[in-house]
Amino acid sequence: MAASAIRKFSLTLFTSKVPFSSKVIASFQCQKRAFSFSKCLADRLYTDKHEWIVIVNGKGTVGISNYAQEQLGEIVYVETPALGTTLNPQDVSGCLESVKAASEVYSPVGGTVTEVNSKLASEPALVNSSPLLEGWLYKLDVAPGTNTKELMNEEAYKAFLETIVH
Amino acid sequence: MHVKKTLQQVAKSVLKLCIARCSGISTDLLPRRTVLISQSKSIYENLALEEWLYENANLAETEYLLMWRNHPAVVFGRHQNPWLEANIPFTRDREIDTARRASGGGTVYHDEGNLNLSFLMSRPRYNRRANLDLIVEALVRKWDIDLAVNQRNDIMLERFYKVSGTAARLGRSQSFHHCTLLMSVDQGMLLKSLDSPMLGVESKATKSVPSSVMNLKDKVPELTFELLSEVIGQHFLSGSHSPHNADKFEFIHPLDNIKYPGVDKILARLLSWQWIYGKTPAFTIHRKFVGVAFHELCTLEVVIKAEQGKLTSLTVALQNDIVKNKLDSFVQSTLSFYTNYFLREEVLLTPQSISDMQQKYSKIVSETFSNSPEAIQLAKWLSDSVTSCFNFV
Repeated sequence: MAASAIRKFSLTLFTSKVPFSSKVIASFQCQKRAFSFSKCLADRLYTDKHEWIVIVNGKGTVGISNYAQEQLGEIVYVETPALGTTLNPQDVSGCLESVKAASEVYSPVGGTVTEVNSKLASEPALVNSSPLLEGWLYKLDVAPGTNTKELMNEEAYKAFLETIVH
Repeated sequence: MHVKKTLQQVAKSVLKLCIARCSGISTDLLPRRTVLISQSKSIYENLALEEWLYENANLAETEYLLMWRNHPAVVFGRHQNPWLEANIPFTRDREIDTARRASGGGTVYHDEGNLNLSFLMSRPRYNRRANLDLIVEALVRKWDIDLAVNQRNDIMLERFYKVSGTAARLGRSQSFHHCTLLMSVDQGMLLKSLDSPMLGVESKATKSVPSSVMNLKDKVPELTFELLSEVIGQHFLSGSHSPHNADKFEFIHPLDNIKYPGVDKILARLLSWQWIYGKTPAFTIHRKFVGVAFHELCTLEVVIKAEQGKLTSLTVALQNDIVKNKLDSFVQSTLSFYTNYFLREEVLLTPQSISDMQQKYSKIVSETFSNSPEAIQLAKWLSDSVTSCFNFV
């Protein structure tokens, strides 16, 4: 009972309708982390399994959502795909280990892996503390002709989270 | 208001249950349950079947409790370093299997006195705590013992001794939670198998948490694999709300390629060196040795780096300037030997591969410095030190 109340509360925090202040925080973080402005403006697209991807000029960056990291708890090991791996949409592309559980990550789109977040080898908990920025998992050259219509934008993903019943 | 809502919810679920019972249509809410008792005592075959079910079974329709026991084996988690978690030379001498699971968590030792349980369910129905509670409930009902699940999701006997280890694998729409249950495991072998001789290692691999363990048979002398799997299996089936009569026990063999097509391919991967050792997260070994060379006390530093079960670098450094100056050519040739060796050969962390490298080193040193007994002596010390760094292989 208490657990479900807490979960509901954290969900409410995440989906609370304060778009203005959250945007302010997001852009502040971008400046602080010296992320390019265009990256911040690009749409972050989500899967129904809580992975996200940002695509800029055919280059995709993949991570997991804040909701997903909350569900997993403290992440102790991050397995990323090997460079050069060719992924089809929904292929297993990595694995996150939290207390005693290994959770598989699925690629939101197809493509070829060009870079992995090497910081995660020594600091896996970055996925918890900064799932949308510093805790990104890998980058890929998105396969030509990729269709992102199946993926949800920020608004749709927030609405989707509201529908999840525990 | 609150009560009203709850009543409405109850009414709704009763209605759903009625519909399902009347029409006989399986719904997501009401999966069937099947208990599978494996006839195989191979850890690899049983893990292969578990993975086959995870990849291929419709777990939203039927959920499984797979149970087995296996020959002595050390089983480590998906992101662990086997050499750091177990005594690999000991397991090889005693013909104890070594296996890597696809689930997270720490290393466990199994023998035939251990019951393995794997709860295969759809991802939304994954509930580690409920499964452990089910096991405890089944045992406590049958026997009067003090068993409880603690905060770390371990089943504790008399609140102090761990009798079960837990781990899970979560996928897109499927999951499994598997655990061990110690009935009458050889505790001496357990301790020796899990006592790693590795020294000076730095690694980010998942670490095991050692615990005091106890066997359930010490409290329930009549306990056997058959009895325990029957008691827990029946309790698992009684927890099913499925309207079907398909809830049942099945005695199966994992390598049934007609029933489980492709299970042999999974088995081949689980048996491969590439999976068992090659998946090891990168690690570094840093060792220091003190000895005498050319009548001078000096320190030898050895740094070894490995990735994917292969050596990626090996450096040796003598920390004594007098010896270093006297033997500059010797130290340089030693270093260049290892550097060149790595450029030419792939050195896997296997006894054969390490022994080949060390033999070639000794041969080159004795050929190059045949006129200097002191140099040969130093080379032997150096070679022995490097070899001892690989005592874990």
